[in-house]
Amino acid sequence: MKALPRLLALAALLLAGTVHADPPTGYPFVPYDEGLRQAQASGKNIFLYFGRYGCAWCDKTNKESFSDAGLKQLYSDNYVLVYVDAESGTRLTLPSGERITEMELGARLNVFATPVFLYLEPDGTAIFKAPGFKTVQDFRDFDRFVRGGHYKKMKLLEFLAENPS
Amino acid sequence: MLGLMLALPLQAEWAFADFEAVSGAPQEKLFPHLESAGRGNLAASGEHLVVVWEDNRDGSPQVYAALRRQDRPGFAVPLRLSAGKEAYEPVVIGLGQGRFLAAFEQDGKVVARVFSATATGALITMDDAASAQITLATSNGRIHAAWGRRDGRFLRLVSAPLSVDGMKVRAGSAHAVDLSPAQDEQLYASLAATNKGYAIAWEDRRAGHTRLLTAVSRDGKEWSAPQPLNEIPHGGSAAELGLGRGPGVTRVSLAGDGDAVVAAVWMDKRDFLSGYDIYAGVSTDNGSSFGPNEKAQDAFAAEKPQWHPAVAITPHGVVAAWDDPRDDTPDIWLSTRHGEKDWSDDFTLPGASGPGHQDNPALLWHDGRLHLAWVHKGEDGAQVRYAQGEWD
Repeated sequence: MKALPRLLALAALLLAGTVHADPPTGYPFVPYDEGLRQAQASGKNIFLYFGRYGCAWCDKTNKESFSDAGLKQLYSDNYVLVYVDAESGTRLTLPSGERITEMELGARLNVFATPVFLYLEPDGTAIFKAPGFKTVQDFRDFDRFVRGGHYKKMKLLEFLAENPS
Repeated sequence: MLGLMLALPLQAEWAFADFEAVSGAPQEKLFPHLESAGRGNLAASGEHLVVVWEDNRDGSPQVYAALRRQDRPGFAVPLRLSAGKEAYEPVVIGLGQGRFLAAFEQDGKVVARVFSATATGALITMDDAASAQITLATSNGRIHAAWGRRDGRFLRLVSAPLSVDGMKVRAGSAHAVDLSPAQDEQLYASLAATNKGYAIAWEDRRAGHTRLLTAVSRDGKEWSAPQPLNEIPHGGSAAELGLGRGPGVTRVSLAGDGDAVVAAVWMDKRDFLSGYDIYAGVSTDNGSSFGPNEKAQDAFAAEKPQWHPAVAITPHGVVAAWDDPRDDTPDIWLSTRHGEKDWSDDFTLPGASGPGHQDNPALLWHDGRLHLAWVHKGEDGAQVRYAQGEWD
């Protein structure tokens, strides 16, 4: 019986974690360094989620978009998923070899608000940046733009005008 | 009209000398970082001024110091202070008679050592537990440190007195700053000495979002109950939707005048559409309470995010420094608080603005001069730079 209160406390802790705008549950998000290694090994593009502890619009995106089972499958299968805490002092290594904090990465990439979603090539080269709340359809459109290689020929808005959802 | 102009007093302002290189010539793949808890990378002692930073000139991130005579330009060759596999986030204070105390994270633990232009003391481990983000303060011969100690999943804030005998430093027992059970991270503290002890501010995540909290102590052993520093606006669309728990605040820096005034600056995302703004709070009772939050930057910075705030208290007002990309690339910007609540127009200086990137300022007021260090990144690499200003 003693285990029950502990289990309830653990469950409460885990549930509390879901409203703190950490990465969405059930997705295989990894730290930046590990993501770069995985992307270079697999050749997959990187989906980089800049969140912030307590961030309202990250919370909304998690609840309303990343809760979609189809989106979860699409992004888990086709991207290396990286989560960065925009106020964290956790260190990472850039492709140049420079060691910086997660917050400093945000400053370098001008992550002025959260959430911000970056799509990167497997070597870490930025493809494009999408700030703010995004719908399931937005993420599906971004996926078509990135994995179809259209970003090499045109801007996102041009692509969406020519290839609407 | 001429009479009116003649009747107006000339407005005094900060006048800066030419900048100087601190970390040597820029090199490809050399990455200097002027980062620390409270941005305490500058100190003065005796006839010398010092800047401490981290870079990879020896093949891994290590901590270095460069000394300069206060009365003449030019920094000496960098002195390596760290001795492990990697080291980060150094802070430094002056001990008098040309001696300095530096503290930093080395191989996952906080360490400290005394040094001068001619000698280097032994490196001591401040905490056998995993630890990081150390900050130092000194006044009237008293020295104190605070840092984050790993406690399970969280960094928890502790503080300890230090004693220095010649070139030897010794750490006293560390005490938790906040006695309540660890609930979440306590990060990036900043410590200031006052005439009644110490004031401290830190990032605290126990509320489900980051709050800035402050406390005071006479001896560094027992701290007052934490008090909130940043004001949280109520309402707004996110709150109405029941989303998130609060706006972002991060990287608080404190400065004291050695008497009763303590100034705090931090990054604050209460107006989140343009990223962080620089906010400030000033205490006139040794950090026991702070006045209302004040926006330190001017309106021309409103559309851009601000980063890396530092603060100094001068006889001419509290001075805040930060970087922002209002002119496309990051430059150093400063503002001076005149009287109560009135902050000047933002200003910058040659070498800390213009081509390249200029970011991560550190500030110190000492001996009638405002000392400023920052990181410059250009096509030929990066270097730490320094300039000193006078109220003219």
